Amino acid sequence: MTTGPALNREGEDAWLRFKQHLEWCDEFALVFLFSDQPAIISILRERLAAIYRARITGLEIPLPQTPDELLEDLLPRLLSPFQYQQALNAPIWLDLTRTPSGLSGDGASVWREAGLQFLARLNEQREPLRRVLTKPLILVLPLADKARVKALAPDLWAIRHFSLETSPWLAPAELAEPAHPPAPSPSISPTPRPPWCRSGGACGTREAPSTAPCSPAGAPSMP
Amino acid sequence: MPTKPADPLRDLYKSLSGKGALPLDPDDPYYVPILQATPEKDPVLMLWKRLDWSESESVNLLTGFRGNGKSTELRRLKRLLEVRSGAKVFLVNMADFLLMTKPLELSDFVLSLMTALGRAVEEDTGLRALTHSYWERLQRFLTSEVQLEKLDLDLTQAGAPAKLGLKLKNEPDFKERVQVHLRGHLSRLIEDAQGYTIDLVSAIRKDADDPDLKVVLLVDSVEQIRGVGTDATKVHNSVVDLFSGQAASLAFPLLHLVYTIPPYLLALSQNLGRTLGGHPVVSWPNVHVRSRDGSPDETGLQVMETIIDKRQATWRDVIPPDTLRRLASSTGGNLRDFFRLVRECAVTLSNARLAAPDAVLDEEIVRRVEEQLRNELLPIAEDDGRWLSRIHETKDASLPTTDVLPALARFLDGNLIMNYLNGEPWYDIHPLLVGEIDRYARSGDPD
Repeated sequence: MTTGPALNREGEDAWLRFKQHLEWCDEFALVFLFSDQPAIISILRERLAAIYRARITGLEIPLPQTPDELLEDLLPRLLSPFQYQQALNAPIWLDLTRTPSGLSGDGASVWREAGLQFLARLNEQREPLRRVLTKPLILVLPLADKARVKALAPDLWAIRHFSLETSPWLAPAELAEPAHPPAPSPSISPTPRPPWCRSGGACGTREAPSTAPCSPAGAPSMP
Repeated sequence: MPTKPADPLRDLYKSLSGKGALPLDPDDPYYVPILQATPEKDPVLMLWKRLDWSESESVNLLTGFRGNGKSTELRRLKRLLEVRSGAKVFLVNMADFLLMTKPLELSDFVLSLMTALGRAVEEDTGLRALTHSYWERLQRFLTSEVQLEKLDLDLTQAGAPAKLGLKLKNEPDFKERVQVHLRGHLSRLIEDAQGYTIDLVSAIRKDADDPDLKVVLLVDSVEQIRGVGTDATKVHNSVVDLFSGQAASLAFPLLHLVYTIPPYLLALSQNLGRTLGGHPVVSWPNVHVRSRDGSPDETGLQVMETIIDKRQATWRDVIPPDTLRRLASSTGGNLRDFFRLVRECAVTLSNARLAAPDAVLDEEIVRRVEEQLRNELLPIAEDDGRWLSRIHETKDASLPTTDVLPALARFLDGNLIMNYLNGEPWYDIHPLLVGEIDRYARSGDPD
């Protein structure tokens, strides 16, 4: 049974589709989630985290704080995961719509540029990625950048397992509430994780994902 | 240990995912000989025959679309050459050795190619002692003569050649330095590489005690080179230059080569094969699910059905045969898209059965699933829409000017257009885009 904030009918259908794909997917798979709705992203992430929390392995939610962490730490780590991580098949949720707290102005702009670079470099490493990763990788990307992402990462896009575009799916009752998407839930990590990685189901949280709208004011939309 | 109860929807889904979606060997239970009914049109048989009859050395070019089974068919070619021609065949995936989104030059391409060949030979035959002398010479050449800084590799050490390949792939700065430093030394680089292949083939023949042994190198994934963003034009120009202007340097003595090349090169120059190797380019098409006039091609549709049948014999319990054919038609014969649609049907039907256990794959579900794939092909820019409309109308994708090569590459890469070979080669847009593109035809062509 799904708990937490409610989605409208269309949103619940999309969630069921998203969940079922991942349920049947126990190998490497690339999932593209395009959204300009931080609250919806948050709901999908929390629901997924709740499912994997119950399965111990925990949804893996990397939260790099700087462009360097994104490009120099996370990218190599995705391509050379720790051995214990290779044994786990819970998905990785990588939200490139979020802007780390404390980044604004030029910092946010550098961050967005780093997001693009990250995708381009991940695209160049498609073959190693699909050789080493044994779980789904969910790339959460700004809806406004769908065409750009397809052009920038054609090799990743070509082997996508499925994609999902969100709409304003909050159920009317939720719309009345202030939109404060919850942070990934803290809990106990059974294994050490690198500093940029937080597990929605299995480890503590340094930072809540940005609740800023995706565009244009909060502007995590890629240039 | 408890086992999961049988679920035909899940089983169908899983047969089209993970390893089931990767290139197959010809003896894989999932493998389907796509052109079995028309062997005279089979590009792989044609390539095999050409290679089988070629003396000394040869170059052949193979092109085809993303996700249409080219890599699987290269494995079949390898098997044909090994079993029926008694050849020694190496198949290399250049995606592991080439940075696909940066401009290529002959220098880094040849280095990557030799690296790939060296690794394949070492893995396959253990001829490390022979390959050693080439890497020793290359080390001296790069460090002493060309004075390439920060090589940071001892190519005489085991595994170092593969590391050179990784460096060329992973470090754009290194690749650029190689290009800059080698510009005045190309003849020497090519001579050395040619000497290497002569030594290698001779040693393999000696090892096999067969002085006439045919040695073949199948070079896969070169067709994935394409520019993105601001580099697009530079990359495409470099690929055109490599396979036309520098073609003579892509042939190697005693070695038979098959390169996969990007399909946009074919639209640019139908005669490319004559420049490189003397043979016409061979194209691996999408499955022919439609004829040029848009009518369904029964043979191709039957092939698509067989592909699913081999993976999940009980699929008819889930998908009515007419619906499967409709899905095949909707994908234009592209296998990756076909698998996506079938997987999506399985997921949607499974969810529908949560509320209504007797739910079947009805028109509404199929329409929604097709809509999902159509949405992935969108958005289409106005200019692109007008060009796609012309392609749909004329079935021709020739380039008005080379300036638009990146756009054509984008169409081909994104499966917005497809190439078929039932009769003469022809192009058409993705079937799910016909409605969208029709509005450009109706709005007229302002050009």
